Amino acid sequence: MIVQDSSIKLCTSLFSFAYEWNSGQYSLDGMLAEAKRISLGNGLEIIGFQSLKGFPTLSPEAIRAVQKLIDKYGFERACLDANVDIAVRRHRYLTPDETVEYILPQLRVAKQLGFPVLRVQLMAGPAVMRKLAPFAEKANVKLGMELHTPYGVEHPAVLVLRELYAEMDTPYLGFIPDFGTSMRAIPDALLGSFRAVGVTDALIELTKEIWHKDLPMPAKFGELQERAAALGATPPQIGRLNMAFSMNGRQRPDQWAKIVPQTVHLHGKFYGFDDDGNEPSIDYAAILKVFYEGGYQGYVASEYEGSAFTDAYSGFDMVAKHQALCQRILTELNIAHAVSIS
Amino acid sequence: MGPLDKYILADDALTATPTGFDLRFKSHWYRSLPLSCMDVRATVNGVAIDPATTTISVNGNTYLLAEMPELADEWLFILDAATLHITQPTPLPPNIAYTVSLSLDLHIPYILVGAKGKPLLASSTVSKTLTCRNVGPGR
Repeated sequence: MIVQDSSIKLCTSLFSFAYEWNSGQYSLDGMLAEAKRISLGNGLEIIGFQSLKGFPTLSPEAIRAVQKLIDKYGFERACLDANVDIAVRRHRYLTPDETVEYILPQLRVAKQLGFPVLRVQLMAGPAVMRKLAPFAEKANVKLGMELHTPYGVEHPAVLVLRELYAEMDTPYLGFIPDFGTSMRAIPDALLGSFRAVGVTDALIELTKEIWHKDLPMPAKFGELQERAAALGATPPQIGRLNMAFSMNGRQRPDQWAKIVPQTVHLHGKFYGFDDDGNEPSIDYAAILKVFYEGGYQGYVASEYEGSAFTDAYSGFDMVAKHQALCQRILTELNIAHAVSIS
Repeated sequence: MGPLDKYILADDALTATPTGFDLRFKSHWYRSLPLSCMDVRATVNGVAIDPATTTISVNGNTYLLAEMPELADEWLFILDAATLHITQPTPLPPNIAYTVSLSLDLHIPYILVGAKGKPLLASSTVSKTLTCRNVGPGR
């Protein structure tokens, strides 16, 4: 059977190689060479403040050097990640106007490097996004608001943005769903890091039990505090266990359908794999199906977050496994689609 | 805090200088942050460095530790090390092993947590036995 190419393409985010990058063993050239070697797809995502010294103040020579490297390895520019550092000053937050000024140089770098999408973050509220929209249009770079947990599609801060997007009705304001917002389990990598600081199995079972409950976040923190303390957990241990709630969202995958038309990029967050190559904590088949059937055309970036908790794996190996998983699911979706229209 | 902690103190991080010693450290986050988002403390053989007289150098610029909260435009690139310059009456005797402990508090400027929306505190403390290298150029 001839299967059409999926409209969803694979992409490598250099975020995935934080452990390797911070080791100082790689130049940007070496990092891109290795990423290319293991990638099944051609998309590339770069975090400005991670990979580019001096970002976002880059000389024309520096811009040309990065351009040359991206082209040398034949990557397609998928997304440049800005950071919205509203607390960059110690004693006060940036005002909305200052936040716009903070993001504009990052938008300029995206344009100069030829990235079609700039990732932004929820600290850029509606006032900031409204002011940025004309600049994005002029630069021909789409602004993708990252929907990292706890920012699911029905979160109040996201609802306000969806209203703004509907009102402004421009393709330059979009979303970047992060799969860590819609998970099915707490990752083993995170649970392993709990055990490493002496958290008992009983406490881990308790944390899992509360994570699965349909409760508001503060109620979960409260219940954990009370029941974990009764089991003898120390305050630092409880603080760490709170990460299980704050980092792993439980939005139903089908909820993403509400924003597929505004989706400009995808963050395929992942932590690890079982023996069959599936991600036990994130239902990739279910999530990708929602975007595929919703008509999303763009990249799904491999974003390995496990290096925050364990150095047992190579980021490069993990990205290769992730892209194999995504490709398998996308091929299955293509076959199902071809059968349905034949 | 996590696997990236292992890069905070390199094996050659401690150097004697004519005015005391230098201690180099890197950040344990995955991306660059400005000095305004960092607090650093250190001990050598259990003796705390004096923040009032210690200075920090990044990108060829040197500041008092107390100035760090104001330095929102002085960035520590994630692959670069910052250098602490510690002043004492005589150089730290070189070619001897010291127990060095360094605590780095990162105030993550784009992740606000809690009811008051404070920057996430990503704190790491590492302890390492480091052999002090021979006298460097000082400040």
